[in-house]
Amino acid sequence: MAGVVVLVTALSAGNLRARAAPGEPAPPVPAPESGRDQYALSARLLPEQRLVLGSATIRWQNRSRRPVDELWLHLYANAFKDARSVFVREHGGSLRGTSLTRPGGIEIVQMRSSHADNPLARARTDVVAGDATQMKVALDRALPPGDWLSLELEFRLQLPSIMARMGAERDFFMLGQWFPKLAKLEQGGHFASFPYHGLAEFYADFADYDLSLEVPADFVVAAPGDMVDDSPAAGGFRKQRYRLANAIDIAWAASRGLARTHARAGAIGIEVFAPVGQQPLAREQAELLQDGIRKLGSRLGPYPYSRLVLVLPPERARGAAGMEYPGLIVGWPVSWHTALNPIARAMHRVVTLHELAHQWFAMLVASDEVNTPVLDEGLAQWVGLSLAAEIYDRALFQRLFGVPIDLFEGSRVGLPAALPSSLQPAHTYRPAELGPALYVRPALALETIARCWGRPRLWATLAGYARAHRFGHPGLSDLWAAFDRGYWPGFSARVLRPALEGAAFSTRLENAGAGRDAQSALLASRSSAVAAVLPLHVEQIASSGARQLVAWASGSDRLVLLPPSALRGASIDPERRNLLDDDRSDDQSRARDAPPPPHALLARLLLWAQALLMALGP
Amino acid sequence: MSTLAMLRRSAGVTLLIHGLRAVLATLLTWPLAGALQLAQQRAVYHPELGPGDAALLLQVAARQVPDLAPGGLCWLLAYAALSPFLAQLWLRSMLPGWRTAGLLADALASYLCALGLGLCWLLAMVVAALAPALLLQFGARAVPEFAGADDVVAVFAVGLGLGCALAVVSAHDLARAALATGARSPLRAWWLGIRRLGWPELGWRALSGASALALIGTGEAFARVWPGVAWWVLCGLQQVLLLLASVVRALWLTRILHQAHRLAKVI
Repeated sequence: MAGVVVLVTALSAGNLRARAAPGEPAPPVPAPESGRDQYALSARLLPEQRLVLGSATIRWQNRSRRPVDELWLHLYANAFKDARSVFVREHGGSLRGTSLTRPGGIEIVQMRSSHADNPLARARTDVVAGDATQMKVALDRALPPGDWLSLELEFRLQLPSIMARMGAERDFFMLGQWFPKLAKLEQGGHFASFPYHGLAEFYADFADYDLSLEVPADFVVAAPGDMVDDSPAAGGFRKQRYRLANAIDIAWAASRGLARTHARAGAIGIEVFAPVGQQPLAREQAELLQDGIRKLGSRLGPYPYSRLVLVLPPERARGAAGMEYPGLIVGWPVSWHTALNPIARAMHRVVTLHELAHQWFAMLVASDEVNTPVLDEGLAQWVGLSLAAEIYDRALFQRLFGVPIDLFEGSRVGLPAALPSSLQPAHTYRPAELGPALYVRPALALETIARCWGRPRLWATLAGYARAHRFGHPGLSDLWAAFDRGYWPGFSARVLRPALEGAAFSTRLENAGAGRDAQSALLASRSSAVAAVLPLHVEQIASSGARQLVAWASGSDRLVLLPPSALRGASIDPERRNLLDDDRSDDQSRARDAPPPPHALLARLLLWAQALLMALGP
Repeated sequence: MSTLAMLRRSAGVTLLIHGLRAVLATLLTWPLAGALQLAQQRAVYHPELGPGDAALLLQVAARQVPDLAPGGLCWLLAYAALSPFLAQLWLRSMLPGWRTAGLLADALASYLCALGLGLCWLLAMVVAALAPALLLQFGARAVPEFAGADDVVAVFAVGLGLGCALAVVSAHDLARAALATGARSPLRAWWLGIRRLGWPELGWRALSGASALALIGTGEAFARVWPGVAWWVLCGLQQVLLLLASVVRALWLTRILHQAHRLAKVI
């Protein structure tokens, strides 16, 4: 393959020598020092053709209990090949408002292995009809448990228009899920391989990555890990080499129009790559990452890499926005109006913090994001919003016409009444359900727990989970166990799991003797035994004006209040701890003869409506 | 023509326009305001809204707004269609010697021209909005000093945007005055308007807009400082302030009518 720069390493040379003659047992492939899988990747970017010529040398261990006689590779760029891919069939060629306007795909042009004589001849991509995002490679010689094999590939990646993390748009190139990567091998000896659904693609083993890139000399490269080489190459190209150890993936971006802003958070270098002219925004984002990485590092366990790279893509590359990779995150896109647009500024902050949270969930705590997406998106959403609340306070938590609205309350708006459980695999949701089920509801559930039992306790529980499964692959049962340890045995079954499954945590005020006895007491009641677990407060204001805040403990499903005739008003959960109650209208009551409620809100609405008319008319 | 006499002559129309705005604003906000008011009367007893109250009001608004948006848009379109007529009515009511029937007939007769002016205004505003957009998009490439200083570019863009909007609005007002004082076609009225546009006019228009904004801001401040005050006191105060803002606007109209007259004599 002309023009391909093949990375010649001791590893690959060793593997070539180690190849066995046909029929002979495979000679042993030496284990690397780190004991982790090794990916030596090289890529040459040809921007005019939107082409990447690449090679991969993989050293991989069978960590299961059974011999492995086949390999499963992810060829996710083939999701954008044609209309028959699972991705296009599921999403109609568009995702998050970006449409596929130019196809792309990946082609393996050569493959060699220590355990197969001509593996490419026996490779199949038709494991799902019409879809070529997975490749099954049969081995001639089975790989026993604990043994290593080597696999060398040369590939040709045609970049599609930017969407779903990958592609090219003018001179901006985003390379996510760009190389042939081995699927995660489970303990039972089967590969957890999935076609590319577009919503979840990271489930993989931890590995050491050695990435060699060749790009035109005027390109700026954003890549994670330690840069170990940056030198000119022939033909007006530039060569850069990065090493990223103990990661589940590696992605990079390149563009002529990016400028780099540097900052540090202790020993960690922070680099923000933003379009030229957006340095103030880049500096603000770098400071945000400094603050965020310190806070999350001290709570959830230290950030493990030497650098954190943030890419702020231009508006035309919106399809790359809002994505996480180990050591590299992609933030909200930068538009011409960003500097003037407070909503865009707020989006930059919230999205960057969300993607930063992903560095822990699921880049370090590498859960199966295809089957249990709540473990990464749900946790990252709460962590991101919670950090935003902590860092920006009133800058993001606004009073609109005098009404105090926080980010969590605001995110409830538009939450559908009927929503599937948040514990389903990502690809089972319809597009309109995905955000509410995987992001909003888990964030509301966790925030409710934080408000009911204290925020430090929730952070400590999440820290216990994150530290216990750092560089591991936990499942839902591990999260339940962490919450049972952090709170009390059975907490997950009583609180967290029902909350994520969409159980009603409703409360209501009712008159015990409605219509018969005006003196009968007012009752605060819970809709179900599930709801009875939340420790809430009930406020009652007596006719005299005396205020009483009554604790409504867990386990009690009813609380008797004063008779309505003796009350000016009563409210369940006036501090709004329980964000899972979908109907607030039956939680408060006001006596008819109580002093009038504030009218400022209505007067303000009228005032500003008149001001608008004055601006529009004579 | 004395300014005071012009204001006195147009007082009825000023009140009419203010009243129309108040009625239309009520129609625009009433369904939502009514639902919020009902929810407050049933459930809100705190003088200052707390997190629980906010959740209730947000829930009410989230359920109401999608249903109310189309109706609100219709009212706004109706107001936009009525605006050229009202503007002519207001301007002509400042001139001497009118009778109600004649005033209405004249304003109605010039409606199509005034509507043309309005459409030109809409087009000019779109073009004016392009200036800051282009500066934000290409400023850093075109002006070396702007490279890497997008906050500075943003300040320039805001200034440029406000300046362009002010020029368009002022020219539109001057064109309306030209139409009220004899111009027969929208294009000629615009030409006259642009011809009269100068620094004093821009200054007076900016002052008039800022004064109106200050009066509206004072109304907002009243609501913030006295959230528990009786509704009729608060609304009454705000209406007085809005009426004063209308008078400020009328003052600007008298000035441009003077201009239009002077120029008409010269031409």
